[in-house]
Amino acid sequence: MGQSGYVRPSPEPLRSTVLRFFVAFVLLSAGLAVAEEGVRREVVDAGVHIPVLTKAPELLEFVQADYPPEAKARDLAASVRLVVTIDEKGEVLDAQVPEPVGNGFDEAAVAAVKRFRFSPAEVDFKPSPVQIEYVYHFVLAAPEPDAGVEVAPDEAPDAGPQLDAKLTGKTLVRGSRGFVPEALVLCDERPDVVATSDAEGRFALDVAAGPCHVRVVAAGFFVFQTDETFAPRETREVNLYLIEKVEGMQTVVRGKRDKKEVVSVTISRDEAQKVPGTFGDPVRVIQNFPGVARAPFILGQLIVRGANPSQTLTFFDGVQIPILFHVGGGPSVVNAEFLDRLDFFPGGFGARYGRAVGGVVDVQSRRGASDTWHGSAKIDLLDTALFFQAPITENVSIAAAARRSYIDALLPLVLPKDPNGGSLLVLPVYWDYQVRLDVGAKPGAPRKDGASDFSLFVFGSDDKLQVVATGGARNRDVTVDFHTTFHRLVGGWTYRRGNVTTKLTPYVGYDLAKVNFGISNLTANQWTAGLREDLAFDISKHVTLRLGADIYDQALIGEAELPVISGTQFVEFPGSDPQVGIQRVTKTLNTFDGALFAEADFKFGPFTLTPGMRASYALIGGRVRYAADPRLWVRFQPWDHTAIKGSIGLYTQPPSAASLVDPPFGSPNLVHEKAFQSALGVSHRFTDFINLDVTGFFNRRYDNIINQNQAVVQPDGTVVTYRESNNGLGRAYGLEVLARHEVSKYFFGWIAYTLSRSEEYRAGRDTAYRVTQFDQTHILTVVASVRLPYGFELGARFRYVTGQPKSPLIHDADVYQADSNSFSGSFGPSRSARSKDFNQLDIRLDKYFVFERWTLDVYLDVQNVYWAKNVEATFYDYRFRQEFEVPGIPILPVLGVKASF
Amino acid sequence: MSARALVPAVVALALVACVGPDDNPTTVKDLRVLGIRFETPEVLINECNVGLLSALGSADGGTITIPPELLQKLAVAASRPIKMTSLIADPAGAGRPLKYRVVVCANPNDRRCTNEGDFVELLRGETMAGELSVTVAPGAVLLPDGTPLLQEVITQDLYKGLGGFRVPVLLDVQTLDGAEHVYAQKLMVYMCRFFPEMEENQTPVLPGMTIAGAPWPADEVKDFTGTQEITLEPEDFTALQEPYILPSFQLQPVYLVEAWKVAWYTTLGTMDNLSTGGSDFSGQVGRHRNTWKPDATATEPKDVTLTFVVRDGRGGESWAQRKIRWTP
Repeated sequence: MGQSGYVRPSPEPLRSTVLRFFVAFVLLSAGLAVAEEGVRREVVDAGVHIPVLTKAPELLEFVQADYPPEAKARDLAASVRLVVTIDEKGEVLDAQVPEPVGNGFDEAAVAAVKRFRFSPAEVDFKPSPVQIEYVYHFVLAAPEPDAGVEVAPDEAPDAGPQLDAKLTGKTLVRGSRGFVPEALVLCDERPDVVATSDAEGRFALDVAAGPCHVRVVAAGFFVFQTDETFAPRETREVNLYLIEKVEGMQTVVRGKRDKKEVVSVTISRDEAQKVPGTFGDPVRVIQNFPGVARAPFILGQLIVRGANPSQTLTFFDGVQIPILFHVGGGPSVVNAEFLDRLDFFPGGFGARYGRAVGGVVDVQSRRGASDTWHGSAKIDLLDTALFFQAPITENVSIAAAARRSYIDALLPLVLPKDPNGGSLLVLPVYWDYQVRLDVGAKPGAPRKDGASDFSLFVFGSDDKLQVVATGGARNRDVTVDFHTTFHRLVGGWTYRRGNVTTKLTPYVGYDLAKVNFGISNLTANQWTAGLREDLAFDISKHVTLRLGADIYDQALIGEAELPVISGTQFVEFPGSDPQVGIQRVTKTLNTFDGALFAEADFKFGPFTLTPGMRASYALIGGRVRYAADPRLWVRFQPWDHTAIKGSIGLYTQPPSAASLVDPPFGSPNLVHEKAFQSALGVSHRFTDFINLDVTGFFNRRYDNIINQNQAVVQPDGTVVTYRESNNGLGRAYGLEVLARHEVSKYFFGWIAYTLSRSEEYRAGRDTAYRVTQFDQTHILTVVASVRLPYGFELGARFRYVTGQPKSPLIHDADVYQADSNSFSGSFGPSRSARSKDFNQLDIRLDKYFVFERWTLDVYLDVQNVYWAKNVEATFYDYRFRQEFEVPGIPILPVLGVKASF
Repeated sequence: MSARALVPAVVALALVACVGPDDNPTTVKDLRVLGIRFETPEVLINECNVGLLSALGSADGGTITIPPELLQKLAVAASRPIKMTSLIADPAGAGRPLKYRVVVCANPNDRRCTNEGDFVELLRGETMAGELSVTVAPGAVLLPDGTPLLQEVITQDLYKGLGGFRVPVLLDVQTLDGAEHVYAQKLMVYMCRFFPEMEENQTPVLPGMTIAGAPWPADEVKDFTGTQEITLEPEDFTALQEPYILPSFQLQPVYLVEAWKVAWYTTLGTMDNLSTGGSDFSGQVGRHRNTWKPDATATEPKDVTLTFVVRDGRGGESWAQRKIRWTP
């Protein structure tokens, strides 16, 4: 009997036809926020409450599709992926095929799925519309005997040989150690010989003795085929490695949820690791988005909408990272493998963030794997990084990462030798670590009402730099030892009950900074204890309330032995470097800073109004500081995929503890820096992956802390010198455009453009605003990464940036100071000229080798591919007669290797 | 520079070395002022104490009134004639005439003494390369509006005399056609004797120079040829570096010891270091060894003048010279 094609019905529709069940939530009515990838984001996040899937929809009525005749005639099979919209009653409203397969399969699948019936899904325990992914398989198989048709005895269908052998084993992901659940294992296309793998990939298939053509079908994987021959009553155990159609790419993070912030950028782990020229550093990736100026050379500083780098803070699971970059302009302390997601707010951020007048970067760490253990190891020019994650029990998982540099071993090989026999040693060393333990329901699993999740997160970083230059023809021996370290221990308890969600985050920390320079040394120890609480109430479908507290207490002890400092402790004479006595200085500073914040969402049709307030009280070295930051966000969503957003608000940032010690080393009268921020923007989502954001912003900064070395003569004749003052003012305004294709199977990328101006003014010195040193009128960045056949992935980044401001040199005479034996230059209006514009192309090529249990990624990251002669800075000859340019980096290739399992 | 920027800075410096200026500060080719010396470099005013200074008021930039007692002491100190000697180099000029002015003004930040109403020209004339000596009384000058210059100096001084009353004296020298022009400023210090142990500063003088470890008398001309490099070092002057006292901002004595710096110049070739000596933040006083390297591109024999200018970091300054006859 010849084969005829038909759709094989499943005797158990839910189990056999739903091969991969991705649940994504879409907002069908204005007002509810959207979560991505199931229930991972049930915690209060970025000030927006994320609804939780508490009951998944179940397929109650399956409808068999008609096998397309044309495809049947050509013996074609296919799997059709559909995005299915189900209403709150379980009826199918819509079915779309995002990636058509053709040959009539799409239409047939849509027609059938539209007649499916599901049980209603529940979000926050209430029936709710949802959107799911559903894969419909069209499999060629022998037809069942037609019921009611009499068959002649000599035409009776062959019931098949007896099933007296067994094939058992696991279906696994090739190249990692993951399981493939819900995979169909078939033998010879017999409809009665089929097994489905369970959640851990295990299956058991009864087969007949003799040859068997084994076929494994799973959504998102290439079909696996092999031939086996069984002896009677034989049981054979195998591992079947399926090749993923999306090797290496992480799950799509759609970011469809509504956010009140006018601009917020979410970066996935793939984007964080794959953007060329960023060395896999997630913080450096932020530099490629609108509103962020290009930092000099390959430094990773974040210069956001004209603010100083110190005015943008980075948080790791809600706790501020005190030192963001490793020594020598190295990578950030945020290990990309440990990143779950990264949110960047260039301004207008929610009231749960504070103590920053620039932007905020919020890094969420990654939970341990829930299926089996996985890991990765990476080696490149600078360091080696290891990552590991595993479930310990059903509800406990762990993830850990560590990184260590080896520049200290390589640098001595390339440093020039002293021809006069002296020695030069430069040893920078850094390492960092993160460890996270989670107790609670697995990611993606429905949460029970009243359930708790716990976490314990430890992270830290250490940097050392030793420089020793002695002997030879040197007139002076140099020995410098520099060491900084920080550690944080962060707890987490998340609890939800009904309409209330709470997250409590206590933490403790230790920081050390130490410098030895000859006879001078400085040591600063700081201990911190803090607490964050985030509480969210869904009062009604129109009103959501968020409250919280953000409190810390800090003790700083600084000790130093250093020379009496000319200019700081006595009047300096030009060119004078006398021999002075050594003084011992001890400073202690205690800081308490407590903030309470509140926000409420009021939703009326397409409008959402969110007023917010953050109020803080600080006691720093016995001095009291208050701050009150009112903020307002407005969102108008005239259509499903378009939103107009605006925000205004006040933001404050306290001075650092070290700045507030007594003079002459500090300035205890410093007050909070302040900023007024405003933004208005429109965003439109064209497709699931493509969106466009256009935003205008205007910021003003007040009481900026600047270095001023103010000397104030007291009535008794003594002089008090203050290193810093609040005499700085700043303003920044501009337009930001971001067109983005989010991470999909084969591609991600974006075009970012910023048109802006940032200016500063110093009270008492300037007569008018002037541009800041980082003002860059035009910043264009284009990033793209595409997955190619044969395991290749190619990425590129192009940047074009307006040249840096500089003051034009005017020379008509040499201006010499005889006491200091130095010259000074004469300049035109401050920063009225610019260096030449910057342009650079960076490329990254990855090649994946997929083995059974692990994957090898070999990558080459080349910066400045066409060796553009950029200018990073300007310097002058000793008499200020001529300008010279400091060139940027030449072509810079970096080779790396990463193994994942 | 923060240590965190060390690697990019090292890279930048390495790149700079490839594209930097050709003009070496140790090589004197054109019109330069290499040093200015005052005899004496400092005038110590007796019985001028902190109490008098505190009466001058706080640093609000407003008009102050100098107490008559202090004014009288300042007038006496400022009237002392000071011999001002400037070392002018002009190898390319080969003895051409130069014109000069000596100007005093009120604010050390006014490097060209051009702030309106705040400067006075003391004298002008013509000279040529070499030592130019004039006698001036920088402090005893009245501004065009009749205000004593010293009063204006005090008004504009952030520290109101705690570091001494420092009067900027400017030597403005240029070629007759104005093609080369140098403004050279030196501070004349009138210092209150805050503490009885304070002594008036003396001019530092190098005791001698060695060449390849052997003494090099001042009147001896050395002969060198080709690419031969010469190691130079001043004779030890550690014992000549004076201890001195300054008032701290808290009006307490700060005990210091001079750490002389030597600036090195040559009319042909280069010196390895422009400046040696001084104390750094690590507490180390730099050594004074230096190396002279001939000009590899020179093809004609030359008489070379080496100049060593020593400064004590308090305004005291002097110089010494040696001659070399060099042949390729």
